[in-house]
Amino acid sequence: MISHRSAAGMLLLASALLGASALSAPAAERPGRAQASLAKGKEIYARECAACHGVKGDGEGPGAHIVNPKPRNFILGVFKLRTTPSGQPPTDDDLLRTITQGIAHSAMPSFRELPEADRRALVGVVRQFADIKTAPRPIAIPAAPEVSAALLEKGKTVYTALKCQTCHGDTGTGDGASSLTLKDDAKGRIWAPDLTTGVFKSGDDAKALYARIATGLDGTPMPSYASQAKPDEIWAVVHYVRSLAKR
Amino acid sequence: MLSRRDMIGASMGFAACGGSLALAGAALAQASSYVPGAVIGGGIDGIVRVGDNLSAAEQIIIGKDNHICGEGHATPDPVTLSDERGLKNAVVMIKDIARGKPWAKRERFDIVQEKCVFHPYIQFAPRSFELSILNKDPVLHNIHAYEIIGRARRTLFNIAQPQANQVDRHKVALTRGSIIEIDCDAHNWMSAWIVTSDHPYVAVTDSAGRFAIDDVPAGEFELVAWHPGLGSMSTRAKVASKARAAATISFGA
Ligand code: HEC
Ligand code: HEC
Repeated sequence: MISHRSAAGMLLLASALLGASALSAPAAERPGRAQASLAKGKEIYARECAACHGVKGDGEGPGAHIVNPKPRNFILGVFKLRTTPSGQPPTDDDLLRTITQGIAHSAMPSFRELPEADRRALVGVVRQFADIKTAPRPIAIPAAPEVSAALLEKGKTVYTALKCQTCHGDTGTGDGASSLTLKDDAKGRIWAPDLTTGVFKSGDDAKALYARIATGLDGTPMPSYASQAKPDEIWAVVHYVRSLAKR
Repeated sequence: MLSRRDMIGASMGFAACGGSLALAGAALAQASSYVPGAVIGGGIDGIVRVGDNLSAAEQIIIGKDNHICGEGHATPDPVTLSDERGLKNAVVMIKDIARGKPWAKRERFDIVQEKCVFHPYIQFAPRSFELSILNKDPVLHNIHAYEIIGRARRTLFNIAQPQANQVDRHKVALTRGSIIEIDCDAHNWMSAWIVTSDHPYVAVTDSAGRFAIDDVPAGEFELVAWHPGLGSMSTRAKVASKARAAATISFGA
């Protein structure tokens, strides 16, 4: 996890680069460190990421047109895999997790083999492209309940009550009534995924699935349910969705 | 049939013909610091018209939840004309006006989903406001708002409302663009728009295509009309002190 110190440094640096505020004297040494990290990050970015995400971070690298979904355009500042409310930028931890794990069902590779410091430096590069100046706050995710037959039964009821079937279909296979007309932000065709494969963008991690359902996948039709479903309902539906793969 | 994307593209064609405007979003971009003053009197009365050579707007089959949404086809962004070809639901605003009448900024705006239609279809608001969102239908609507930035659109928020009579309040603050598009992914014909402004000199045309903008200071202004299906078009209007000026904005020949 990014330390308070370096996160603050990065923030200061971002505002310095934007000419937004004068740096106060005691903080002056921090941007120096963050700057070095950002410079390193940019080097790694050019080598590892630019082929897909583009030199300018606009998602138009030479390899971009052959993959679907397309590499993210960082400039627009819209991210799918967040623990922050709908419409908010991701946290540094969210970005670090994505860079470390990659994204299943897509061309986005895992960069686990890069040293952690390098992956953190890349987080700074993505933040700068996306013009993320704040420190976004994650939603509260309460402790996971024990998985039981009763919980899965409840999850099934919640799935129907929250009308997930509209897009994902009655049995979660992605054939809902609205699934044929879904579009992403760029108005490209997008599908409600089959939830029974057991493979999710950020693995089978229950907490990640909680965040997906509570905050949505920005840039796609998958909406945020945080305001209209209670935490125990979201947990129940998370475990119901995870159980679909095991049937 | 034109898709909605083509329609926005087409709007840029219009703008290029007009010779003044480049992008749908940029067309309405404003100077950011408005200085309110005293009541002025006078104003602009106008009409927005559309020429004959207009392509058909996109129609979409109402293909789900028919017991609530009705049957047949729907047009997301209809070009609705009066007998005199006056255009309904165009937003008209004075471009770059830095000072003028008092401005009591409204802070809360409403949008309602009923029988799979958004109400109101189009409205104007300041750059930041709170949107109160009500779903009256017993089907899932997911209100999905985007900020339009030139040719791109970016998600502002996307909220599921699976049950009838659910209300959400969401704070909106535009940073890059000035137009908000609102869709429902579950019902792809549903469409609404919010145009934001840095000053109070904005109006929406009525079913005759008419609009009135009051308390305009004396001077010469660029007046821009924007419609989701047609893009933007502008004209100039000269307002004498405390007098009412007439203006006509025409899309196409
Ligand atoms: C082979 C192509 C490819 C390479 C190389 C690549 N990416 Fe990606 N990346 C993608 C694709 C495709 C997506 C979108 C996946 C999706 O939408 O599910 C993506 C998405 C992302 C996202 C967005 C996650 C979100 O929440 O929306 C981040 C951040 C990201 N990549 C960072 C990086 C970084 C940093 C590097 C270099 C270390 C990198 N990527 C290298 C293809 C690539
Ligand atoms: C309006 C359509 C729609 C509704 C309603 C909807 N989803 Fe989704 N969902 C999607 C789409 C589209 C995606 C895929 C986004 C992408 O590919 O980037 C998705 C993605 C997901 C994912 C992430 C999969 C991954 O690989 O990480 C999960 C989990 C999920 N949905 C569960 C649910 C549940 C549970 C509900 C009900 C509480 C629900 N969805 C309601 C459209 C919808």
